[in-house]
Amino acid sequence: MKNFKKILFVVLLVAVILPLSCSHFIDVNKNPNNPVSVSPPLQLTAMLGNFSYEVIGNIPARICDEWMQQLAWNGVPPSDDNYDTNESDVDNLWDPFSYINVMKNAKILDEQATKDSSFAYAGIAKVIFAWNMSIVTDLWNDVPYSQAFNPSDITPAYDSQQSIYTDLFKVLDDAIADMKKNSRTTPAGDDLLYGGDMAKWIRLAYTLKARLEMHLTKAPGMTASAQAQKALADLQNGFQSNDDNANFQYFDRKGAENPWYQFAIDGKWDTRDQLSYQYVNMLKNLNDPRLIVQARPVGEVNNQGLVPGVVQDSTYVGHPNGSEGTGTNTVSSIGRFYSNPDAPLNWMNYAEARFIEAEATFLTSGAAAADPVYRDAVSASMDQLGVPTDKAQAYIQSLPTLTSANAIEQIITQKYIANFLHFEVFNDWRRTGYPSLTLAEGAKISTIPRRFPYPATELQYNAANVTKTGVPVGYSSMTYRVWWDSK
Amino acid sequence: MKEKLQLLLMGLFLAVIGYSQANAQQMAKLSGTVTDAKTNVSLPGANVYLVEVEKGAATGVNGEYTIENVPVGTYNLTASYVGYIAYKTTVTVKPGDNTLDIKLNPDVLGLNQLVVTAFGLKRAKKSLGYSVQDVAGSNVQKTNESNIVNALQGQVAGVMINSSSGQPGKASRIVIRGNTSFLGNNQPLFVIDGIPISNAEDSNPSNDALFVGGTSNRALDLDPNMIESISVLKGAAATALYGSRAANGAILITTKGGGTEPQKTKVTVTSRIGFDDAIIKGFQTEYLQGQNGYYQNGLPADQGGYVQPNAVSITGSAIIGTQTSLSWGPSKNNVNPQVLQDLKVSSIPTYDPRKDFYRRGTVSDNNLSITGGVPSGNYFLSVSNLYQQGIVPSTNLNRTNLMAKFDTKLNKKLRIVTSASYIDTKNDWQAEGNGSLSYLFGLNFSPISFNIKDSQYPDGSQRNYFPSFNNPFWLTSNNGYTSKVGRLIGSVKADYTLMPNLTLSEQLGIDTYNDIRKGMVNVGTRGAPDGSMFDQKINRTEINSNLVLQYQKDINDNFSLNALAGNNINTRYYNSQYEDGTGLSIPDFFNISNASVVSAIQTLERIRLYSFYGEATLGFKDYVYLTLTGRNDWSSTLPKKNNSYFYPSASLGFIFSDALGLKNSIFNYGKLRLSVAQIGNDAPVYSLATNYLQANPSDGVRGDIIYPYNGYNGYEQSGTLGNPNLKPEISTGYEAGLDLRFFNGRASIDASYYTRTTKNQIFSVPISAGTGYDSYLSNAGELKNYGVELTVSGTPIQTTDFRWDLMANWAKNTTDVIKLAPGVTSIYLAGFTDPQVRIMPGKRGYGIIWGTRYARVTKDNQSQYKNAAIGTILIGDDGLPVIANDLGPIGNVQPKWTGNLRSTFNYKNLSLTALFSANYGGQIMNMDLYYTTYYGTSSVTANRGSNYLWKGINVNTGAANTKTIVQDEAYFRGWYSSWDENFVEDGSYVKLKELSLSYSLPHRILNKTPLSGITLIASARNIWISTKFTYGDPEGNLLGSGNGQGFYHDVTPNTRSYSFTVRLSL
Repeated sequence: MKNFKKILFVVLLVAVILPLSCSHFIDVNKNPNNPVSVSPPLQLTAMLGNFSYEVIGNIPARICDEWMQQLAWNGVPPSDDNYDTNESDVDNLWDPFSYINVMKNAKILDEQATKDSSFAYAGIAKVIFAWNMSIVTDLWNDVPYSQAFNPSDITPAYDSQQSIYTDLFKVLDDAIADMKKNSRTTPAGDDLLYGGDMAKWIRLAYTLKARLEMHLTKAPGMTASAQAQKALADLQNGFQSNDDNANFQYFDRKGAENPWYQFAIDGKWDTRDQLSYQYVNMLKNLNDPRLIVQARPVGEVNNQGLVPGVVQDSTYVGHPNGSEGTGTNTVSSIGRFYSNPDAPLNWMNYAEARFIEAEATFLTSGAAAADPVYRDAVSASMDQLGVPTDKAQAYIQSLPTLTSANAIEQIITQKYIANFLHFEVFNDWRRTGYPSLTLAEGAKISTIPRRFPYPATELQYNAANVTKTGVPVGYSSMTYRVWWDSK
Repeated sequence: MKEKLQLLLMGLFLAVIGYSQANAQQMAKLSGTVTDAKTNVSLPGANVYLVEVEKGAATGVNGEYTIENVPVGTYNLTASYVGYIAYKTTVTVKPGDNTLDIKLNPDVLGLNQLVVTAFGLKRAKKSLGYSVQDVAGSNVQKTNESNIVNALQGQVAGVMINSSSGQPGKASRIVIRGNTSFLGNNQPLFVIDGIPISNAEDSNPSNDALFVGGTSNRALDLDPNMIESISVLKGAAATALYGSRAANGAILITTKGGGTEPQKTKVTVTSRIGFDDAIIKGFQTEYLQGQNGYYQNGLPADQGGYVQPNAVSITGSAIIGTQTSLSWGPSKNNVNPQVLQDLKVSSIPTYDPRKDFYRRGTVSDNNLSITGGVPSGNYFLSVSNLYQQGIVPSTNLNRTNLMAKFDTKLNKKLRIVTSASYIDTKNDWQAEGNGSLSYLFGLNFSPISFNIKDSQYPDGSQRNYFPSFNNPFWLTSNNGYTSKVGRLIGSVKADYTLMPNLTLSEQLGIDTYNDIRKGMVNVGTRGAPDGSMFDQKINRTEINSNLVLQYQKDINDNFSLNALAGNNINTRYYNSQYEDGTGLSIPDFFNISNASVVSAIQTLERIRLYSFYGEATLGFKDYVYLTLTGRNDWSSTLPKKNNSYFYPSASLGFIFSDALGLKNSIFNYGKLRLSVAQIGNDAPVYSLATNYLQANPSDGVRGDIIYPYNGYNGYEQSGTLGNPNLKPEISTGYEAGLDLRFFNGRASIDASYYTRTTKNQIFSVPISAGTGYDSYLSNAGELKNYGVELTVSGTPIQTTDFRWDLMANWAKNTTDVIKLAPGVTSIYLAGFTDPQVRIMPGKRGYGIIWGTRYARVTKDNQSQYKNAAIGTILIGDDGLPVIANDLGPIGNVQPKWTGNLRSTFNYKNLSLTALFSANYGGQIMNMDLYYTTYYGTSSVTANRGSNYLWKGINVNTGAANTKTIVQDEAYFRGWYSSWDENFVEDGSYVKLKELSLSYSLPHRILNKTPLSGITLIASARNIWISTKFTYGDPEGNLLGSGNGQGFYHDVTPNTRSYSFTVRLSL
């Protein structure tokens, strides 16, 4: 019985003490792996890195520049190159790149920095938000906007592109206002784009605004001249020289390399995203000195000499879009200026600002007034690409004088070359029809696509709202036009 | 080393305690024989035991026993033998020699059979109101599987097992009665001698399983040699007492040894050697590398690259100087003479790349075990080593298990069982999956005209039939993954008899392992030319304390009560330290200091669960048993306000044959089981808050940016929205079952019907990214599993020397996805963006294959097609099926039913067993068929050039399709390999899973040796498979043991194996 009492004591002890300490015992749910809040500088570097790699240097340019026949898939069709682009192929751009990684985080940074009176951060966040949202709506037309970024509504309704554009101009105005304010803290090296130079950010915001104004030259209810005037006003405060270029610097270091390098050159995935026959020939016909900057000579497939036995050739060859691949060593790859591991990724350049100015000047004041601006724009591009002045000048002199008949074609074609590997060429093509392109071989649809299909995750998790847009599922969706792309 | 030392000390300590109790006395002697009451056959190995003096003996080969040194007096004597009804009597021992012969009655109906239930509690099977199925250890050992999960295949109705790969050590998935959780764990809890252990599959940290394949499930560490029996708890009622951890069922493993009766020391040595051969099927053996019938050898120009003169591709363009990876060249019997002349050969040499690559796997498995007992306790010691060389070069599994278990009665009231096992598992494996690191990526497309054994150029760089794929031999000799696991599973259990009917017991157990892993990608690997590596150290530890107070009483002649109350404390830790290095400066040197960029990730997790539970079983007249249970959990992973939750169960066992007097000579026994139970479940760890993650921009394909970037760190808010208001999920199960026995137990039927509904599942609900998040954790959705399990067994023939036993089981489970979360129409489980495996609402909605598909006659367009049957394929004027505009369901990975048949013939000492397994109706997304058809190596392409008529109706006219198509390169590459539905294959199979012949040497021979038993076993596995699946054996899944199954893509083929075992007992 003595033992029994001892045991009973232990049992009672267990039964009484343990439950008392139970709530403390199980209080171990604090996450030691991830923080629940971080400061604006840490958010800024993440947001800029994501926007550069996941948006600017990613799907919009990769797919649309094949559609726009700057690039071609030198593999086996079908591919994006002949419009075999489905809801899955475009999904990453929406989820998670744009809506989660960039735009939501931009919203959070904006709110947190505003609360903190760190207006410089808030302003940058607004610019990135507006820019990313403009790309999203340019690709998909109606998308979640006013009801977005609110998880209490898990099926956000879609807003019209028109209303989104209206608001984006406001967001950019607010951004400019923020960036002009006194900021409690200001970015420095954590600003991976401009190293904290807020004046450049302001010029970027104005240039972006001008770009967006020009997107609407044919939008229903808008007039080209009014849009051009707005753009010209914005450009007063826009990029002033190539020093203002939005270049995101990459490094020749594992995990820090340029996105085009990682995508098309280093062999991690494939080296068959190479230059289009259409593009190389266009430059050859123009005798354009930028060809050797934008393309590698045949055989220089990658930086490691990965493919044994390839003989380097000093010729430049493109691959016909949509046709079957002939082997990477027969076609030019993307030029080192764009695809070296440590090449910066250009988000927007001074030449584009001048091309916008040229087009807007043409629309408001005619061809003669636009001509010198147009030549300046080409010169800015040559300068950016490091083309020797004599070659550049000879080329510029060879360009035809702008007339009311050729102005848009000339300006947009030259802008198309200056904006090599930029998503913007797709917007210009839809708006102006230049450069004129022919359908890729084996095309999955009967016209060159004019938008992205709605992404797979939206079809799965927000199906009712997708249905309301009236855009069907499947390839035919790509023939639908966005609001500003009116016929 | 520390663990090893602890084990040694523990063993020594317990040995001392155990033996100090055995002291000598000078007394009388009791002896006699134990025989079968019906046949008078002597029973060797039976136990005879005198209760009061705690002395006993085991019978020898002729059934004789002797208990020496018994003090004179009257005692309660017990005698027991497996398969016989326990015998009890009183015996008076007089001075000198006493004789008592004992006759045991066979327990033909197994009515007194004890089964292990929750917490290792033994219960009479007849008293249970739910289904528990037992697997004898010998049946597990017979399978010769190194992974215990695979060894359970075919043994238990309603248990689905899928091995993921033919590489040694690769994970296998086990699911009991269907998937109950959308995205959470669906596999049962593994418990060894009362201690829950981890069966986690710690995934490869370097990449997603899609690109590098799965890893091991940690039940792999268990040595099948040590297993006495396995008890499978299937339904909610069976596991309700266990609570949330066993929400998907439980696999209770009882190791050898144990029991309280003294046993003679027995030494057993088991030695096995085995051979594994890859099952290779599905490749064409006629066509050479090239395109459009022209020969090309794929090599670079400066390394002997050759292209047939005037070659043109199928699109008509001339092939000049470029190479191909395709096997669309000429037939080996019809090579252009010019080619032979150019290459100065009389024919192009051909190979069988798949056969050339896979080697014959070998296994050696050696085990030494010692078991025995003295009156005060018993012991079990075991040491084993399994060494397996896989069919893929450089893949190995080397597992050493040490186990010691001591069961000691310290005095009449206190009994202590201590067990410890130390396991050392080394595993070397190769990447699988959709990526250039996977040896299969190159192997499956290897043309028959390329000798893959010639894997290097003289300068050491790799040689392959095409420069962008890695040569598989080059990969296996340069790259790979290693894992070294050191694992300790130990427990101490004390039972204290407070009063004759009241026992208090406490069991404290630990399962802890360190897994030291390395990943190696050598410089020069295609796709990762600079090389990379990782080091990872994983520690997983689970500590479990279980305190139970048990009361057992026969209240009167009619009523009995068995009640218990307990407390369970469980803590789990996980710590992973991962260092990833890229850009190796020195080739073949896999030290992290050799990497040019190193990034590190640390993951720590801690989960605690605290519970009280109780159970009461009221028995009436040995034919009605009512059991009620209740459990309350407090879990660390739930919000404080919701972290306490209670759930009950009730079950009834009613032996109606006894209660209603229905027994006769044909029908012997009938029992009805009814139960209802709830089980609560908690949330994944750290899921309440929304976190920030270190930024890692990626392109969704292969590239990424690593932070800190240029010296600046960056964090982004995650897309997974935490939920601070989560509630525990409660699932409800109902089960009804019948247990019927006939012809004196020679035939029996066991049937169960069950339903299990889980509402408000805690799961990560995928949502529109428009919200800023891609998922939020919620209590949402509803999923119901229901099904039937049937086990029929019998002994059709039984004579003195011959016996034929048959066992068949059959199970059909339906997973009905009643609803997903609001706004969600389907959930991604696994795969690519397309094809993929997903969950969709509806019956059999778990595991739907989704992708591009044929346009068909539907309800909507039926009227256009003269009311052709719904589902008829619409064919275009070109004779090819029209492809639907949108993606849709194209298959279902869940089988409609599974069944197994085991037949055993025993003739004297010879025993022949065959186990057939069947799996009906599950489909497989065969991504390999997609790729190999494109490359022209699949057997589907062997009939190239032949005509084919697609069955269906013309999309324009509605008339039956009459347009035949030519199955040429353009067809296979351009059309056939473009659409997912072409690659959905029927995964149904019937297999001769196991065939084994064993022979035990008769006693008359053994009597002349010091040995008490010699058994020789020859066995084979997977030697016959009948399936439509192209690659011969549909078992295999790239995604390991995860929820996404049926995804066959670049996985090592399963094997056909043969082994020979010798077992010696002393």
